[in-house]
Amino acid sequence: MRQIKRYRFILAGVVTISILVLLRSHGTGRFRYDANRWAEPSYSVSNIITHDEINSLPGNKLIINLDTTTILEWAPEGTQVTIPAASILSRQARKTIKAHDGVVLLWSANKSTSARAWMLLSQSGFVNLYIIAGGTGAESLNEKFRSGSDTIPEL
Amino acid sequence: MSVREKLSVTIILLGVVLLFLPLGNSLSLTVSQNTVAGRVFGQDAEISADQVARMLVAEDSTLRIIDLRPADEYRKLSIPGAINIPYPVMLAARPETFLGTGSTRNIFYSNDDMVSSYALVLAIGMGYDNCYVMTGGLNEWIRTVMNSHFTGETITARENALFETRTRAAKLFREYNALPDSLKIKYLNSMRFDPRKLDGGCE
Repeated sequence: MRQIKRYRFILAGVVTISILVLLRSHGTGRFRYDANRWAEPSYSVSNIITHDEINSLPGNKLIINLDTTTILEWAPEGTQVTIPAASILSRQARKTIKAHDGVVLLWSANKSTSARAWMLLSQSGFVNLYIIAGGTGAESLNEKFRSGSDTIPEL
Repeated sequence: MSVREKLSVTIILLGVVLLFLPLGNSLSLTVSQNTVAGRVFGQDAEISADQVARMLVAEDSTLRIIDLRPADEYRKLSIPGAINIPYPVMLAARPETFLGTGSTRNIFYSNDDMVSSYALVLAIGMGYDNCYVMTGGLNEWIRTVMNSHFTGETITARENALFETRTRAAKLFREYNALPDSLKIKYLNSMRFDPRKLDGGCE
């Protein structure tokens, strides 16, 4: 005890720094270290699921509707919550997602909105996050261009 | 206890703290969450295919187009002048080397805009505020610029200007992508206006 009393200021300083480091590393109020690691599911497109695959996911599901003007009629009752995309990292939103024990599914009519929300949440340390999108998930070039005419109509 | 002993204890304890810190080589998002969220969901996060076409035709020197698709897709078809940084290696490719300074506008595109949206968040989070997404990606470019056509009998001046830009950009795109890789850079350089080549004028 005498030794602890002797080094109390040093210990207090080290404990304070340790707490700050742990909070920084594990809190969701700031982005995590190593962006590459947290972006990993987007490289392999394993963060995207279709409507049909939702039921095959294990555990509880929380569907976050990022569009305030749409109601998700297909979502089971009690599983959806509306959070505007721009507020996805607000304290209330983070609290809601943290409190949920299971997978979190992001939906927006505009897939780029879901993608941005996903990356923001993933970089903040949230896991078990998926984007609900159609198709195979991976982007593909669907459009073909026809041989064009360079004629410009008259004014 | 002597000063040396106190110093030794402090250093040892700080060493324990350092065990919890991550290694220094990994890239992280350093901008605050609110700033990044505000920027990526803001109105100026996106640039339309028409705007990109206009900048391309005008040879805007502040424009840097970044193609995030795999290399084989880039080689088959790409927007003239775009550099290829496949998305999965974007962070490993040292972003500071291709995202440049604030005076350049970096425009990400992929086939749609999910991948470019991921890249946008990462780039802005790392402090590169001069980044944007081309709305709809290459699919939208083809729909809007390449497949543009006019069906009426008369055209307003504004529509004419838009159609003319699209036509020029589409022509540039077709000619550029018809070239073998070795000639693409030469083609882009030849399209650039060189004031030294002007003849005549007042002395």
